[in-house]
Amino acid sequence: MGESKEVLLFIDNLIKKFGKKLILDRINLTINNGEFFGIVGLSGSGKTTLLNILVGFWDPTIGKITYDGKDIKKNRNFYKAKFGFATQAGSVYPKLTVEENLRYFGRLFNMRGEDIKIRTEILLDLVELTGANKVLADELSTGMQRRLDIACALIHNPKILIMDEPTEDLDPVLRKELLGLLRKINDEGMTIIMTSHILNDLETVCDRIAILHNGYVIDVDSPDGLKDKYSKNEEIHLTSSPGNYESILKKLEKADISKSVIKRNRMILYTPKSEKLLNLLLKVLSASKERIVNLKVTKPSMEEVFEAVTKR
Amino acid sequence: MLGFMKKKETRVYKERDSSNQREKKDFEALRISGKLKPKAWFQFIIKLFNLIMKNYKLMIRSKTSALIFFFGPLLIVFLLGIGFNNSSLNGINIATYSDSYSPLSESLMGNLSDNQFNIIKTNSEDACVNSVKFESNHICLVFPGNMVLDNTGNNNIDIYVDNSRLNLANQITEKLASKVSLKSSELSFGMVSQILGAVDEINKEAVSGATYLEGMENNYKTSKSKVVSTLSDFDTFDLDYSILDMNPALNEVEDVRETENLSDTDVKGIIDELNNIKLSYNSLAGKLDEASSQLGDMESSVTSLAGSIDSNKANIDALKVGNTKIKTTINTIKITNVDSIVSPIGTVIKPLSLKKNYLIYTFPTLLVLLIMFVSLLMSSISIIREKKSMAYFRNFITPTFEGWFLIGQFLTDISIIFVQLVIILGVASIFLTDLPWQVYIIGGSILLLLASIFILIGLILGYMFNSEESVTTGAVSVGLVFLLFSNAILPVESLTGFLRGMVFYNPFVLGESILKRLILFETNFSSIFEPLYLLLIWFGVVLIGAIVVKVTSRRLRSSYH
Repeated sequence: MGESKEVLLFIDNLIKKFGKKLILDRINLTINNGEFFGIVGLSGSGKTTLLNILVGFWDPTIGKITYDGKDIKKNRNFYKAKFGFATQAGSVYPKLTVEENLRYFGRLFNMRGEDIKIRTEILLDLVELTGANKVLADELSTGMQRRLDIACALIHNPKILIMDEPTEDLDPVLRKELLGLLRKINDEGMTIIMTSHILNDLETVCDRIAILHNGYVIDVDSPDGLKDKYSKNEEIHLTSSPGNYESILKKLEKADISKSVIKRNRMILYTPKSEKLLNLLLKVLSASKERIVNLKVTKPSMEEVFEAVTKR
Repeated sequence: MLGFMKKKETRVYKERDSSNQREKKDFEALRISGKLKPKAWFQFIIKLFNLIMKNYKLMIRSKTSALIFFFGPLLIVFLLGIGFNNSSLNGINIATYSDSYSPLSESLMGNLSDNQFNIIKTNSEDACVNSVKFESNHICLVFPGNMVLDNTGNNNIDIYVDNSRLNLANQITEKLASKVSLKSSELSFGMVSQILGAVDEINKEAVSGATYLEGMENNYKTSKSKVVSTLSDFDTFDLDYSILDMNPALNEVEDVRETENLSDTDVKGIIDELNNIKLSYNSLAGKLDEASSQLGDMESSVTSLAGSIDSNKANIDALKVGNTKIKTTINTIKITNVDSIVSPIGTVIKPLSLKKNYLIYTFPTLLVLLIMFVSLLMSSISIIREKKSMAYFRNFITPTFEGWFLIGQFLTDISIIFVQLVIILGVASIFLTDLPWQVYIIGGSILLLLASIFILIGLILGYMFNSEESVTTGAVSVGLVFLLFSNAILPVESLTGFLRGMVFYNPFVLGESILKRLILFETNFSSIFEPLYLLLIWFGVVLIGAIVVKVTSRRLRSSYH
């Protein structure tokens, strides 16, 4: 996590309309230097539009974005170089090699050949593609392609790396690897703005998360802050044998349970009074001759928070 | 700079050039400060080169694109070169029908039967016509039954052609007509030769008759003069005589006798002699009278002869007039050459260009056609592929003026066309040896200009459409419009007024016109100025159009994304 807290990017009352359709409504966001900032929202909530405006692909209808206190619209090309962008689909030429892709985009950022060579060497090392520099992009594995995309986004040494759903379509192992890489990049001081549907990913890496719903930012806070704010519940996860969860639930009718979910071989109970419920549950389990396989108490997940926020 | 990467970057700099440590240390600072920033124009060149190289790599590495855009046109020209490198039509099937073939119709068919035309006899006129309709044969000839040369004059041959194959129909009928016309001329030649021989004979006889008449006239003149002379000779004859009076002599004899007393006997002899003289005289006088009478008869005969001669003279004169008329009439026939009489007005089609094969005639059109479709399709599909590429978006978030992508794509496409043109014209120069090298240079430049126009149109289409299918349809449709409203398929003269006027501004027509002037007619450079100016105007218009569409399409895309 970056230590510096000075404001790097400020999105001020931004509105974006396509025709008469309002896509983004009075967005106000502050992103600090070195921060890992997450944006979460349903499909069509305006996440990608917001990112596209940040990188200068589209102009806002109303509002402004300042970088280091300066309006980026006034010198768009200069500020374009401050952003690196990696998309969920990957944004590289499949028929160019890893090195060619990096060189091509480096040139578009007005980089000198020597600088590109140095940056390429560093980035390939960083994203662990050193041995694959002569391989065509479409011959890389999915994880490697995603890492190449990040390398391309970083070739010009931007200040802010913007990631649009980077873990989408990745298996858990690759996702973990990629998040580790992003964390590593962020630890080096790079400001990262990332959107994702996978809330656990954001929760894992983000310093702060903005919840975007119907083009409007509902809230911005740290994952724990959001959890505290939007859910007083804790979660009790139970796996028992033989696992007569319906019967257990009946016996807990009088307990303070906000919500219960039975998923195959486990049951999740949401309660604002976890300690009291846990005592009761242990008694019921003993009486029901249920053998505890796994029992844990956790804070609410981001999914629950998101669900709670968007249902408001 | 990020700590991790910064350390690594510094290490790399150091490893790369240990001899310039100070410079290396300052490198980052200088670069960040902008002092090492390349000049704008240099950046522009580098970026363009970068864009073009990227486009080349993408095109070459996409095997289908490389095959279609690099080798496709060359293959087409190669096949056309092999296929049309001759000067005649081949394998033309002529269906024929006649109720009854005659030696004349057979002879005509024999005239047509050669390597170029295959004669196929059919059983009926319908079968003959249908065979053309169903394309098993190219043309149908229906000969009249028992076709002969006589005074009935029924020697018309019906020719059925498929006008939907306009170019072929025209060529076949032209060749067929020339062959039939040749046979017809042969026949006319024989007949006219016969007539002219007779006239010539008459002329000769008239000349010869004139000589005879001349002799006759001379004879007349001689005879006439002789008659006149004879008649005048008649006048010189004097057959007059006086009556011989013997009485004075007898009286003298009597006087002498009396004087001399001579007896009668003495004078009787004298008197008898005198009487005999008188008798003789009288007899002679009678003879003179007879001679005079006969002379008179002769004179009248000669006079009559003179009259007869004079009447012959009139006949001779009449004959002379007739003869002169014959000669004059024959002499009024100014054309005595059989060829000239058979074909009094000859039409010799002199092509403006005397080239050896069909390829050269179609070469300008083929070149323009090829360049048009390759340029339109290549540029439009390249843009769509770029738009569909995952990396398209990243291009726009770089500090690169959007027009550079357009210029980069344009230069990529035009350079590919340039290479293709060099190869095509290079190969063409092997076959078209009589064309001066200037034609290749100027023609090639014109084709590049034309390609530029079509590439820009293709770019416009590429920016307008969003799928490869729609842009291909669009590019082919635009190409077809240019093609259909040109001379390549139908003559532009068949168009109505307004469209006809517009056609002459069609870049396809302009390009084709310039190349024809250069390649076929080998006219001088100044003659192509007008269409060249129009092409330059086209270039300017489509360039502006491409920029406008490029900018607008992004706005539209962003508006409806």
